[in-house]
Parts: sequence; C-alpha cells; structure tokens
Amino acid sequence: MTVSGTSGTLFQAGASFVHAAHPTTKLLYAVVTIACSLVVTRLPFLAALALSVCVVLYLAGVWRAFLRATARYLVLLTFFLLVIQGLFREGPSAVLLQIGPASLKTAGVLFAASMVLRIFTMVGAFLVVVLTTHPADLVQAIEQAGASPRVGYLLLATLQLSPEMVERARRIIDAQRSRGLRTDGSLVMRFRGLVPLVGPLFYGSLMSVEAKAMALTARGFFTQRRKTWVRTLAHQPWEPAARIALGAVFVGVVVLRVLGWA
Amino acid sequence: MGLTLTHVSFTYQGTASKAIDDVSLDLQPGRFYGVVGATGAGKSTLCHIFSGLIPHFLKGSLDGEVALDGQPTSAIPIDEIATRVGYVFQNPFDQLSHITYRVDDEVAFGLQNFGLPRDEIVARVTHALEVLRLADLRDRYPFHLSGGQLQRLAVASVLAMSPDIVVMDEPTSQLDPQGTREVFQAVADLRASGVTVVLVEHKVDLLAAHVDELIALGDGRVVCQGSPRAVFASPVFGDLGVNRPQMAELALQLGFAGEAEALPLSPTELMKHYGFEALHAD
Amino acid sequence: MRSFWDVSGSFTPMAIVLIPIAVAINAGLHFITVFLNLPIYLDTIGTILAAILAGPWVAAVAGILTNVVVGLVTTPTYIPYAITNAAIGITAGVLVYFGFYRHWWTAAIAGLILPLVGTVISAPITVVVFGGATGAGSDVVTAFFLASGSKLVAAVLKATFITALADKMISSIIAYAVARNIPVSYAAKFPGITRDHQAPVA
Repeated sequence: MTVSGTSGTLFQAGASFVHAAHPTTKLLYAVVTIACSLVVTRLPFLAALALSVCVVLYLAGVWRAFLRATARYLVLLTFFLLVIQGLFREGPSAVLLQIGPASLKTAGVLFAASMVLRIFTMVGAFLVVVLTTHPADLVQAIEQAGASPRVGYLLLATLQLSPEMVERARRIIDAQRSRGLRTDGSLVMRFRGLVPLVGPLFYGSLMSVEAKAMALTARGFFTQRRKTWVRTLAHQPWEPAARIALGAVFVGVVVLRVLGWA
Repeated sequence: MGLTLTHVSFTYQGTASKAIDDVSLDLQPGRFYGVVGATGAGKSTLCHIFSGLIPHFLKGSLDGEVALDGQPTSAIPIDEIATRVGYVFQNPFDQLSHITYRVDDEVAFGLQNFGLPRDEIVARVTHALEVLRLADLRDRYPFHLSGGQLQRLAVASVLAMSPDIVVMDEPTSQLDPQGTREVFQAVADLRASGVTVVLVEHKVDLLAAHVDELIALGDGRVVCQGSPRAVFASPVFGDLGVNRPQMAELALQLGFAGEAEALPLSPTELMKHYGFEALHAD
Repeated sequence: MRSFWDVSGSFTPMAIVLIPIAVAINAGLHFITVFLNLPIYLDTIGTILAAILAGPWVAAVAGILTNVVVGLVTTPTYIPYAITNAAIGITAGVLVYFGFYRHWWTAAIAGLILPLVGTVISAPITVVVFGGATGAGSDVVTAFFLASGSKLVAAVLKATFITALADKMISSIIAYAVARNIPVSYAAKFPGITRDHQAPVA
C-alpha cells in the first residue's frame, strides 16, 4: 500500500531506486552529503560533491522538479555572492576583472564559487529526500526510529493546515474584493485593506484548537500505549551496503581533510 | 449496564452558572436517543459528559455520578473510555487528524494509536468503510471529499473503534440536505450493528422519524423525555425554543387533543388522523 | 500556574494543536502580504500568538516549524533561519511573561525588541551559511551598505534590521489586538505563563 494524495510538499511520485529506498537511508545520504560539504574546503572536492548530487537527482528522475524549486533562487544567490564577495571581500588579491571603478577580485570570486557549490550541495541533498519521499513515509520512518508521535503530528498537521489557511486567505480576499477592497491603491490603502482580512482568518482557527485537541484525545493520540503501523516501509536489498558506503565516504572525507588534502 | 447519570451537575471552570443541572439519565444498550434543546441548553456539555471528556479534558466541577457499565467515568482513563464511547464532533474538520493522506489511513488512525494488531486494524477499517459506503473512496485524500462524505468518514473512524455507544454532537449542522441524508443513513447503519446512539440534532423532522427516545433539555435540565410523540405533545416542550416537526406543530395548532402516542409526525399520519385515507401508498 | 522553565509541561494537547495552527496563520498572513504587495511579511504573528497563549517554548517550536515547513515546500535555505524564529518565539514569550502584551503601546515596544534579537541571530547565519547573500530582497540593501564602506557583518546586520523593524512592530500590535479578542475563559485553557499569575490575556 502506498500513500498518495496532496502531500503539501514538493514530493514527486516516481519509480526510481531512490524513491524505493527506505526514508532513513535517504536521510543518512542527506546528512552525510551535507556534512561532507561542510568538512571539505577545496574547490575540486566541492565541485565533485555538487556533481554527485546532480547525478542522484538525475537518477531519481526529479532533476526538473529540483530546478523548478530552486533555479531562480540559486541564480540570484550566485549573482549576489559574486557581487558581494567579488567586489567587497577584504584583503589583498589579484584583480580578475576591472569594470569602471569596480574591481572583481580573484579571491572573492573563488570564495563565492565555493560558497555556491556548498549551498548547492546542501540544498540538492536535502531535496533528494524531500522530492522522493512522501511526508507520511518520512514521518513514519522517524517515528519508528523512536521520535515522538507528537513530532510527527506537528510536521504533518502543519504541512496540511498551512495550504488550507492560504486557500482560506485567498477566498477571504476574493470575497472582500467583490465588496470593493482595493489591492492596487496606495500603501496606506493597502494596509487598511489588511484589517478586514485578518480577523476572519484567525478566530475560527484559534477557536477550533479545543475541539481538535479533544478529538485527538478521544482518538487515543495521547495514549501511552505502543502504536502499531498498518503500512510497512520496505528496505531494499542493497540498502545495508549503501549505508556502509555512505559511512565510509564520510570517514574518508574527514581523513582527507585532516591530512590537508580536501 | 450502559451509561447512567445520577443527579449530575457540571459547572465549567471560570463560569458561574451550571451548564448541566441535576440530570439523571439511563441510556439502555442498543437504543437510539435524540437530544434536543435551544442553544446553551447544555447539549454539548451532556455529550462531553457521556464521552468522558468531562472530567478528563474539560475542567470544572462535576457533581453526581456518571457510570459506564457500572464504573464511574472519572475513574476510567480517557483512553479506555474512548474505546467504549465514540464521539462524532460537529465539524469533521476538527475531528479528522489532519495528518493522514488517505481515507483508509484516517480510519486506521485511532486503531494504530491504541496499538491493535495489524490484521485486526485492516479488517476493522475495511468493515467500517463498507458500512459507511466509503470503500470506493479509500485511497482519496480526506479533505478532497464532500461535506457529507467527510462526516461519514468521521463516523467510520469512530465505528472502527467498535464502541458500545456513539455520541454525535450536531453532526449535520454544517451539511447540505444531501449530506444530512447521508449522515442519517450512516446512523441507521450504526444502529443496525447494535450500537447505542446518542444524537444531538435540531432537524426535528428527521429525529422524529428515527429515534427510539427523545431527551429535551432546557437550561441544563431534562425537561421531558420519552417517545418522540410524547415529547412533542408535551405542553412544556413549547417553552424550550425548539421547533416541533412541522406536521406535529400543524396538528397541535389545529387543536389536536388525542393521546400523545397518536400525535401525527408525517403528512400521511396527519391525513389519517383527520380521517383522510392516503391517496397513494407510501 | 506553571513556572517559566517548565518546558515539558508547556506541551499540553491544546499547545500541540495550537502550534500547526500558529504556523498556518503565519503562512496565511504571509500570503496576504504578498497578495496586497505590502513591503512586510507578518509571518511571525502566529508565533507571537503562540507565545501569548502558551508561552516561550511552544512559540519557539512554532517558529522553528514555520521555517522548516517553508523550507520543505519552497527552498530549503529557509531552514537555517529556524534558529532565528525560535529565538523570536522565546523572546516573545519572555515579553509576554513581563506583561508587554497587555497594552497596545507596550506591544509596540515589544515589536522593537523582537527584530533586535532576530537580527543578532540572523546576521551570523547569513554570513556563515550563505557568505552574506540570501537571494532575497535585502541583498540589494546589503550591497548598498557595503558600497558605502560598512564591514560585511555590520552591513548584513543593518539590512535585515531595517526590513525587520517595521514588520515586527506591526505584527506585534496585530497579535496584541487578536489576543485581546480571545475570551479569557478560552485563553485560560492554554498553558500560558505570566509573572503575575493572571491569565495571559487581560
């Protein structure tokens, strides 16, 4: 049995080996990759890490979804890092490019490049998990690993309620607009437009907390009994080997760094 | 056996007046009880007492004795009560967990929390979905269902816990006529499986047609109790601020003066009472 | 009444249910500001409300979760700033404890303190994790300050502070106004914390 339905996250259903892997293995992959990106300092190693993330994203078939979610952000980040670090990084450095009075310094550009690669790696590794794992599976995995069901509730209920609230906000705005709310006036007018929108959004949901808490109580959510799970999360035969490999990679990277090679 | 209230009063913390005032009731297994009363008459409070949320969740002072199968509810843990008394809330949006992504997972939610064996959960979920006619929707995202389907899902998730008693607090108040019909059908199905049902409802025509016994509340007290006809015919009922079924009201306006058990509740009965033979069989 | 440091006692069923709703309020309001083209975010009002109703620790979790969820549904770069929102939640809880949300003008003062904390926590995250850029609008402001001769950390500090100041003051006052309208008997059901042993909302 698999979960489907609106996930509230970036999750993309798929049949890749990454999708099939147990969530904890994927979490381990993300943690190891992010840790490696923080341990290594040299540009070629950072580039290799970023490339490895690209390969995994490609094999998982979520390459496009990854770009959709992050391309705009990554381009902006790269641009601003180049400007801020390239033009303003302190200390002596060769000048890479002279544009009028501004000089783009080599040290700053190299620093910006390593920063961009590191951020790309972290974002990519994290998105490997998010894009290929349904949030319900992720939560089941962390609960089965010992996390409190309350943690799972907080995560999943937030993922479901937030888009619901945004949808409600959209409906309230539409209703107010048909009664003459201006969304294109002066700043003061737009602030004034805020007032009739805020009240209706809050009260119903704040006043529903008690009923929701009672319902959870009546459905045994706060019981101390040991929970059972109807769905089982499968482990693939290759996963133990993959976990060992991930551990070995991390140890190797740390050793390289200590030796001063990475 | 069943649920008994003996001289029960309840005052919510931070309020001065009694929400429930000296109520004694004896809910017999397998019967269908309707509860009517104006806003603030104590209907929801009564439901909370039945379900153990008073005194286990909602704070206040509870006097008298509430006994579930002879044991005071204050001495039974709320988890334990929850497996014996099911509660269907007014708004399914509040009742449903908001952490499941499929209809069948939502029904399994409570069973998983109570740690039932996996096979039993699967069997109970399947049964509950069949009874509530949701089997075809089992893989749907809960909040994409219609209002009536959503409330049926709430009932299914309660039924799956196989309680002896199901308490429903105005489960149709947010629903259109189609959704209301679906929920009343669901209640009839619950009854058929032998469950005691307590239904708070202001749609008196529907109540009149279904319940075994009606409990009318006014200012936190039981004003009258008995068969629907007896309650609607009672002279004190008129002071409660609750409508009678249209045909009963009409008959009383026309000067109905017979035995209470002859009070007409449907158009057919009304015509019969005044000597018209039904023009068509129904 | 519970002690200020009673962390685990804060997470009652009411508080557990309140947290996702507080985060959803943050999300809904943020959507409205984007829709109305307002130059502020208002995405801490839910967190401040959580602080008023259920104390600093619940508010901290609401703050963390806001960033985690935004990170999950948009870009993960919001996640490091969960630390900032946790600090804002705790600070709001402390301000509630000292009665700052009893009058609109003290709530406004609280709104001046919150961005101070937020900026002090955010700026090093921006510098360490992102090398000074976040990919957001305040980078333009950062570049301006750098061009006028400020040091990097100071520049980031100023940029985030100016954009945060107006936002937090308005958020603080709105949260106060909303809390005022919650019936005292209902507010008392949450595990609120105040120094003078009264309901958090009066």
